[in-house]
Amino acid sequence: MEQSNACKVVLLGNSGAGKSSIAQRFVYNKFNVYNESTIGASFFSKKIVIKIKNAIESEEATERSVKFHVWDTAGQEKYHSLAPMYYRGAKAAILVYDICNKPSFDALGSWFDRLKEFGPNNLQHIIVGNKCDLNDERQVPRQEAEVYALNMNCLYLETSARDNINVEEIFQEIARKLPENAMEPSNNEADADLLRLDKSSRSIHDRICCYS
Amino acid sequence: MEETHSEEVTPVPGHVSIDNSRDSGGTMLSPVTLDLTSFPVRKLVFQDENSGDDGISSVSTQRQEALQEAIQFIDEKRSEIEECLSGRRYEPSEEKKESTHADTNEDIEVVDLWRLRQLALSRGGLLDVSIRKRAWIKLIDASESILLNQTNLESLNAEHESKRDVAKISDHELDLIKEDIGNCIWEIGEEIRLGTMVASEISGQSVETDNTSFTSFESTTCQPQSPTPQCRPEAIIEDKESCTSPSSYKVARRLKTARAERKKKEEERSLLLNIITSVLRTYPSEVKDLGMERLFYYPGMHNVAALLLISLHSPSLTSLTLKRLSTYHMKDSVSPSFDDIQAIMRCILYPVLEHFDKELYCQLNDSGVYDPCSFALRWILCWFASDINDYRIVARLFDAFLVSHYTFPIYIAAAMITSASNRSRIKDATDNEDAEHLAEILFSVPSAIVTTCQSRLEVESSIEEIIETATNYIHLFPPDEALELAKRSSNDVISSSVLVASKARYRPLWTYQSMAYSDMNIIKESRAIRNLTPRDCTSRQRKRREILNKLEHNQCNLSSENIAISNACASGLLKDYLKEETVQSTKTNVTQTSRRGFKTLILLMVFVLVGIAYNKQYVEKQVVVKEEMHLETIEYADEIPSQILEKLKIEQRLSMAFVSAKDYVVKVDPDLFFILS
Repeated sequence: MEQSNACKVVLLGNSGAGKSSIAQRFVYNKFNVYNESTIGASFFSKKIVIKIKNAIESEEATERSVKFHVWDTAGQEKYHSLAPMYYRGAKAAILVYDICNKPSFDALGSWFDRLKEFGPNNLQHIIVGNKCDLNDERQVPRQEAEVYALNMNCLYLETSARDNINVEEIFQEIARKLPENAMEPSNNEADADLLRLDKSSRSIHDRICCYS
Repeated sequence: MEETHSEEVTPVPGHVSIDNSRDSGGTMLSPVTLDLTSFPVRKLVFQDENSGDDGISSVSTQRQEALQEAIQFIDEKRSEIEECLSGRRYEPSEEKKESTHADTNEDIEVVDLWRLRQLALSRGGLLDVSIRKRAWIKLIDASESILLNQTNLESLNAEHESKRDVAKISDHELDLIKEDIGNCIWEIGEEIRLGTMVASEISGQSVETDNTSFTSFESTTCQPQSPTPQCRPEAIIEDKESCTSPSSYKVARRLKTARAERKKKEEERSLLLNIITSVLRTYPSEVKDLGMERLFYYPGMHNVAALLLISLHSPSLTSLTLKRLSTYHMKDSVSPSFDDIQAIMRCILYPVLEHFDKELYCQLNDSGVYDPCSFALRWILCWFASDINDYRIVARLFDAFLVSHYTFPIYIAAAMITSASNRSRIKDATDNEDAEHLAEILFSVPSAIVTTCQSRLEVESSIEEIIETATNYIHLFPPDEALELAKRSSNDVISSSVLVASKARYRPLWTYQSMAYSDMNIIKESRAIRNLTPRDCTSRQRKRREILNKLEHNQCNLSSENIAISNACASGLLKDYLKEETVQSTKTNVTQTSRRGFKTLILLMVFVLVGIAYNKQYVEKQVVVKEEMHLETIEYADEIPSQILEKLKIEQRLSMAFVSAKDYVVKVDPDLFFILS
């Protein structure tokens, strides 16, 4: 169907960093305090619409819909050798670490190495420091991570799957940075409407959750 | 969509009405269903039949016939397994009855494990919890090894911690385990309760006519003809309140039960944690032969452990079973990396599909699903226990896996993918080139087995079909052949996996042992002991006889665990212990003073238990030993083990035997203390 708009994204990082939480927040907009650790991998998909300002004609922003195929991998060390299976054909890799856990940040280096070795070419990387709601227990200073991301030439975001901070932004950034040729502007108005409707209904759902 | 539906209509236990089942498109309860019924199931079945009378369609009569057939089949199979377990030879003709009377017959001594394996694999598997519990113990050869009971599991863990050579679990791993356990998909207590209920209902055929109360099922759980199956789920279902009167809850009571619920949950969790850690702490020396450094936890193991616990009702047996499985069937799952299991899956799963369903295989390959591990790994890792949340189905699969080659789960995966409903769904997705949908479908292949079926009977027959298909696959295209073929494969990934996959694998004895002690044998031995006790009893001897009598009386209520313990004591301990020279040496140690007491009793109990369990030639010797050792000649029991430890190097076995015997005594009859002290 809309193959051209499909984008495979793989979530990588040490166990307990919150990969599944990010995926669930993004796709279902929900958060469980205790998540079963991922066995093997799990798969999610979701379509989002982004507005892209056209550089040439800056008056009007074009809308694009991107369908994300999110592969949430298991973080446990045992699974590391299996990761290549999941990032084959991926357009973006989200490297997640826990800002309250230094080792998970230190592990990013090895993830990058592995991606370089086995990953597809022109793979987009994004470093995500999760659990920024737990700022008091922070072990990795924001600056350090930012510098690191700069060195690796990739984007850095601090998120909180629990408080729903910046989660959607990760995917919007990815969608924005996707190379032009892989993208085709969404002409399908009805489809876009549907999605907007979808979005609004979701926010209503949010409110319900807050009150209950 | 189905999920939301089931959330809305939360069935109240005990209020599963027949109308309901007819409305939802012919949902039918099979005779062994676990469908949220607080009713005895048979009663439901009969009601269903009655209600079929006023129904007009031929569907209902068809259903009835299928139901009747199923009941008959299950009854027959049950008696066959029952006979197998008690060691009798199965003869479908009338000779059967004669052989039952012949107690003295030789063939009641042992269980033919090959026949049991066959029964576990054939249609219906091991049917239900009560049988499964007894059969699994025999299948994993628990009667020959040391078992601990619940309290010992903790003490073993403590003991483990104090020792240096024990495998260390990293803090990180421990946190992971704890977190996973908190999210276990199995409601252990609830499943056990349901399982016990159904089992009792089915085994107590006479009870079915008087549908008096739910509470009566407690008493029917231990039928006299079945010596071991009395369930002792100890901490788990002690709370009998939850089993009674589902309709008349008051608010206060509900609050109370909610609290009890939570407490029970906590208990379950700590049990699971103990089980898993005790397995992981297995001495490195024990797994060295397998080429492993130690056992590594993997997410999903907790679900396997939970399922075993539901079936076996005993933490220590669960721990042992899990340990056994980790040395053979699930070896690749507990190894430090998944390379091996990945290699094996690559060499088998797709080749099997290619061999039997080329079209589907090509379609999967064309749509970019090159590696079956990407979706099927989790099924194999936890034997589907994380993917199908239906006890009867997963336990049925476990029956088959326990007695099969370790690659059998992969064949089951192949059979699931090629099963009619899944196949058509996959084909639809590939035809539409809907990659994302395809991934979802592939992930849900096992759960779809349950969710796409409309009735219990259909689910169960579909799982039987899958097992049959998988058995065909493995016969027609055995793992060796798959590896051979993979060697010549043009696919680099597969051919490079062969090297890893074809590593020689040590197959433990218990997977192909042909005999096990039967329940009958155990009872018989206890009788033998009583007969061997001299007539002219002194007062002391009379007391001893009382104990023996009591023990034998309790034999019926003896939990399988304790029988296993005694068996274990017997084989491990006595074999070494009763050699003449050791008897001499211990005797000299023992016959120093003449004080009796608590510890004496422990030792006595060990011997008694040993005697009950062990086979004849040792029993005689053992009685001799007892005669010589007269009760009062033992002073400090704790001195004895330590000496034996050094001499016989059986420290673990002995100390465990002591503790379990002590616990057993306390549990069975506190009065015994006073008789003797």
